Amino acid sequence: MPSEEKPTPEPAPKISRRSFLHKSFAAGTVLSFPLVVPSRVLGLDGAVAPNSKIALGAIGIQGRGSQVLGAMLGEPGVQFVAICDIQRKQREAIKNMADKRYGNTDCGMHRDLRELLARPDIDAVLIATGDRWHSMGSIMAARAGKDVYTEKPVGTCVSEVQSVDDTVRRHARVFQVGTQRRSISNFQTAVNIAQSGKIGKVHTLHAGIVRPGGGRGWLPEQPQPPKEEVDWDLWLGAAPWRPYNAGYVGGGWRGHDDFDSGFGVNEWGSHTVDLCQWANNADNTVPIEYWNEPEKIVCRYANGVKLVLEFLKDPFGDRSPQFITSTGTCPVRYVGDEGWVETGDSGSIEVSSPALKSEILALKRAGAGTDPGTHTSNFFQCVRSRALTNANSIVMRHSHIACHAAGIAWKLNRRLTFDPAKEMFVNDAEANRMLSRPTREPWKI
Amino acid sequence: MKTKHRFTLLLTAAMLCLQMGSARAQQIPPAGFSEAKQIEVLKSEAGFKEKQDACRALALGGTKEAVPALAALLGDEKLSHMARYALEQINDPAGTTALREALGTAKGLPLVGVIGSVGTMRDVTAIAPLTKILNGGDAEAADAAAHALGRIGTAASAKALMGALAKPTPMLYDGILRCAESLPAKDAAALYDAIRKPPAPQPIRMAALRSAIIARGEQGAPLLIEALRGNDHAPALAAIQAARELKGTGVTKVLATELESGKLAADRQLLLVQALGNRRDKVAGPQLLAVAKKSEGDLRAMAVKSMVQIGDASALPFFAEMAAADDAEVAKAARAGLSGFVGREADAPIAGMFQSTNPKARIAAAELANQRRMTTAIPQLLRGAGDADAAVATASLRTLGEIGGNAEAPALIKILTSGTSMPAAEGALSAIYTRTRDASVGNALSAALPTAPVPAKLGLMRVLRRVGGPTALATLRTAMSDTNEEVRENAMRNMGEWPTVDALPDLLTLAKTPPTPTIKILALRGILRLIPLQTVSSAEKLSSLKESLALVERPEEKRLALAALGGIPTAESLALVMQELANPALRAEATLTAVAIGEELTKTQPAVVSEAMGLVMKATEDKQLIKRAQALVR
Repeated sequence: MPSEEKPTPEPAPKISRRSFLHKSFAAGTVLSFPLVVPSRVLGLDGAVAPNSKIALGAIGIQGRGSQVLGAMLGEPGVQFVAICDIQRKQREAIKNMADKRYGNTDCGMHRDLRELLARPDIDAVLIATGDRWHSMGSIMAARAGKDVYTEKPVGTCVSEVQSVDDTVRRHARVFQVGTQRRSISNFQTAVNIAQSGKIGKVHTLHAGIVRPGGGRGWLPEQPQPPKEEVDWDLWLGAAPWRPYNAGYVGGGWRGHDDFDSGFGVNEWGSHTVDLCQWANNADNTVPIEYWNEPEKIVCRYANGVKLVLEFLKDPFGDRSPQFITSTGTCPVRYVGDEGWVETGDSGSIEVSSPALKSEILALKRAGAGTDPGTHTSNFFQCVRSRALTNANSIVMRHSHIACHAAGIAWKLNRRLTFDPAKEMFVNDAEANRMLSRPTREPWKI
Repeated sequence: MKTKHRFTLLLTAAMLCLQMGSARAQQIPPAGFSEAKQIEVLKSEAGFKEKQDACRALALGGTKEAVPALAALLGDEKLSHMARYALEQINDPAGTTALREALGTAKGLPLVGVIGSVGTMRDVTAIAPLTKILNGGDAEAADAAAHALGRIGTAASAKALMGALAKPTPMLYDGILRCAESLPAKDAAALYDAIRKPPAPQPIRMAALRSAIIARGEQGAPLLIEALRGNDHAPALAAIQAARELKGTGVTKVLATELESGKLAADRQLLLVQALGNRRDKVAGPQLLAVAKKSEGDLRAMAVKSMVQIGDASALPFFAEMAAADDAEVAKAARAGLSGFVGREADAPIAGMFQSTNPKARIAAAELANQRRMTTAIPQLLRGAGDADAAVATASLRTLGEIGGNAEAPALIKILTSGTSMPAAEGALSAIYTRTRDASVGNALSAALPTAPVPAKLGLMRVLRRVGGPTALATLRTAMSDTNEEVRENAMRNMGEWPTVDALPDLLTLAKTPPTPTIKILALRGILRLIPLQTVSSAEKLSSLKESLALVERPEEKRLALAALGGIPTAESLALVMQELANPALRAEATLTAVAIGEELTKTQPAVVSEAMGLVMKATEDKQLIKRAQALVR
């Protein structure tokens, strides 16, 4: 990297990072707006008083993060104030975008998230890094008194998932995981149909997922860039150390067990399994049995309902025969003894009978299932009212643990029994050893 | 008897095995795993990757045998993490001892990591060295010690943490909050009380207050109320979070009484009303109802939403009253309460809304009857279909279409032929037929057509087209000879849009002897749409297409013909398509269709296809298409 390049124009604290953290913390971080509770003033109808801004910081923003941040910037009463990214080019790109939008040069830049989290003027953070930082970032933000919206999946292992939920609740923070389908009408309607008994007693839930995979190989070592350009050690975070390769930073971390979640099960499973959990009224529990079948992982809940994680041969193309391709990506199908309902990211809902069609006639055409707009709105409403979000930490905990348990059963290729109360496998020490990953120093969950 | 008992035991054991499936106990180390080999790697001069992989393997399969080799790496800046990676999983007293001993030998980041692992192992015998580190000069290590002591979660670790409060750090507060979770409620409350006041920063005070309330159980209610009444917003927010989580009907009663007292400021009332809804405890129903009745605006809307959440049937009449309220938020919430109420108790209040003098209420009643599939409301809906208010009639007809059956068809036909609410009645009839697929609906429509006034005939014919079937087709055929020109033309138009192939002979006749050029175009379009739907041989489809092609004059219909030919992969259809290559207006579609046919036909007639593709490649400039054609040239 050329050393003569102009230094990064970001405010470098004159005091040490650690000292900065402690001083800022002592100053106290609290919601930097007066609490005016009436729903219309809370943003429920878009009328937020000008002095009620929520100051937002963002951590690790690239493709998906840009979409979510874009939705957040459109929220009345939200002011984006700082970007943190281990890559200089990303920091600058997001700052430029924000400054252009606001017509000033106020957006702060930080390489190290500890600096951003220490800022007392920030109320909430968006975390859209790769999987390996979702849990650690959420935990650190909650400890720092910030409300958290994080992209999914949360936690590369079960212990991280548990710690996020525990920490968020311990610190009384508002938390939303980016499983935005919880806030989108076609998914809500499908769940309502399943829960209301309109397809009879539900017996099987189908969740479309990308075929699991993973591995522990390393990409070839490349010269490590200067920290100001790409902070490789920060990029790795709590994951085991390995030599630098630009491919990881560019998004090629997927498929590497150290950085991915649940051997890839959590990638779509954090959405689709979550939607099945919801349909089964199982937000507070997980399936108790997991086993492999050809091209699927089958799970069974204590109430007898089966959850089938269907491997899609072409997730972004032909999703048949397991699903109706036209319902779109991230499909789910709920089957009862009197009918079925299926939906996905296209916004359409397919049902088993003409009688059920009338259930969906009144449904306004939903946006794409990937649209984060209503989900981010829900988050900011809850930041103000302190109510539970649609995809709160308890919901996240159970749907993510279900995915991890399914991934471990797939990896070990044997039938596993899980105790939802203890959140451990029964009589399988090897499987239980896969539930946690000690963090690299100095990171603590 | 003994034999029977033994048999029962065996059966029970067998059933237990079955219930367990193949989830038999998996012991460590698993079969085939060589621990010695991995230990050897750790002791060797192997590179970092090899040693990292050995640690990973030991994390899954290692035993206390591997502890010495792993412990030796705890001070190693590169491998300390991976050594802990394995030691934490092995979870053997020897490993715990090794980690504790490393507290005195490791330095820098490895020490920070070791402290973390000691916390994970919840090693109570490490509290003394951790306390020393907590109060020492290494700030990073002190943070780690606060974290570890919090995880250990005993009275002794709590004492150590509280002893450091003179120099608080974020991690110290986190450690105290975490530690308290493992303590008896009384001790936990004392810890929370100690940090829910300055100099603890506001977020910690909020977290501690929430936990202090919850730790006290029902006895935490006074603290909750105090915070809720206070001047500061932050404690009130923390109290509201606790109000959602604190269990017990007694707590609900206290909160509901507080709401009723009127002592809270408006913003706090709103928060409490919302929280009471989240608690889903019917005990708060009367107070919420009282608030909803006497308040307005946001508070009333929130009270209605909260009553909806708790699902109290006693609120249903009020919901019915509010379903047509001027305040849209209130009305929306009230309707949600009626439509989503589980149980038939909501039906009577909705039925009562049909009697309202307010048209908005009658419309809401019709919509709610739809959402709740209230077939008991059909008599009211039929009356509503004749309501003087057009919007009420439309809403009633829409619902009749959604929940009505064949029995309602005659009444709907009567409404349609009477000339009022025709589009809505037409829609309702179509919806009923789409759902029931009962031929009697078609028969009733056909019977009504001859005597209906002209405007009604047009609507009846549209429904007939959707209904389909031989009777409806015959009725439409007759209508094509009606004395009224408008009826005739509409009959022909509907014939052009007929959904099934049984209209083909009629359409061919129309295309050959059209009354107007427009009808000819519509007939040809219908023909070209229906030919591919036939379940006949390709030769027969091609024959029909050739016959209709002779009648086609405009490029628009020729394009449709080419599209139809694309679905008939024969040499003859290819030849027909190739004829259009010379036509500049159709060349693009012709080349595309030729390649599509070629790709299907090449297996059986490669030479014919190859020759045609040569011409296609000359006729198009589309690179992708040329590439596809090239692939078919032999």
